[in-house]
Amino acid sequence: MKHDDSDAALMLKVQEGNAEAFEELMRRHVRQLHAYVFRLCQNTSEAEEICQEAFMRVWSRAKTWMPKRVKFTTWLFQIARNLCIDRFRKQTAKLDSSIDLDLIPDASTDRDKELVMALNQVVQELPERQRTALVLCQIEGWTQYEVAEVMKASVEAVESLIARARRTLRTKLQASITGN
Amino acid sequence: MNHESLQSFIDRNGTDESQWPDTEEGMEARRFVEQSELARQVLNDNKRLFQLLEFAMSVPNPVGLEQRILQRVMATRERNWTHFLSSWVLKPALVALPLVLGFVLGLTSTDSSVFVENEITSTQFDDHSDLLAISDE
Repeated sequence: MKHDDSDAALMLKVQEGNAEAFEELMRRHVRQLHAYVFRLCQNTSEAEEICQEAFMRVWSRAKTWMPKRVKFTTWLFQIARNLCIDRFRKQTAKLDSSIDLDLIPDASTDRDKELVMALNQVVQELPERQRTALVLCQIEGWTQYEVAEVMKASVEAVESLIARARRTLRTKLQASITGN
Repeated sequence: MNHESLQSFIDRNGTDESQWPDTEEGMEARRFVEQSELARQVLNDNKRLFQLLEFAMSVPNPVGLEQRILQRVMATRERNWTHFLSSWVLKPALVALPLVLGFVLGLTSTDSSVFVENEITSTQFDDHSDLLAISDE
């Protein structure tokens, strides 16, 4: 399998039942998908299950993907997001306090570490749509247009969701940021 | 522009000045940041917040996830083959079995009737020859 094959070319092979193409496609995107899902659900085992299920659906429902309609990554993240929403509705999982504080640069103060913990908490309290928009746009670096496609919303709606999420984070943590 | 409108602008457009739109509002925000100490402070506080957000959203390494996904897919493939065999090969075969049996039985019964018919013909011939022999006498 050529590593320079586009996602679309690989996906067309997956539609014919080519397992090698699936493997290449999965290896290409699994890290980013896992990061996105974990950031949404903050639970290690749930994030893994959702990723597995998302790729299972890519394999079993490959023929429903329409290359001219939607990019493969958009489709993949839509599947994962829907699975996350289903899990949120069931509300079975508990959040993991799995933030690796050692990742924060050495110069960071204890206050920064507290702020990181607080930020994580506030993000989890955001409504799902705001959280999705914030994670994809602010953390993953997607454009608002790409986020709008995954969320099946308008670019204006995404801009508004991100602005509200940023405002919530800022207002809830204002005192800590400014050091007052 | 003032401190509040700059904050609102940052909420909508983020803290990366290179990504700010080249609209009138964007140009005004850039000028305000250049000229005002307070504006720079607002921007830096926001930058710090979203830098820390990246740490807050750090992700554990999913060791072995790729392998587990492949195993699940391979298991599905095997199940699919079994399903395929049972649905597309075995089921039609079961449906066809009575037809085949009927066909074979039909062939067998046709052969035996021909045999019986031949037997009758030869008997009739034998009987007839007997009659000829009597008449000669």
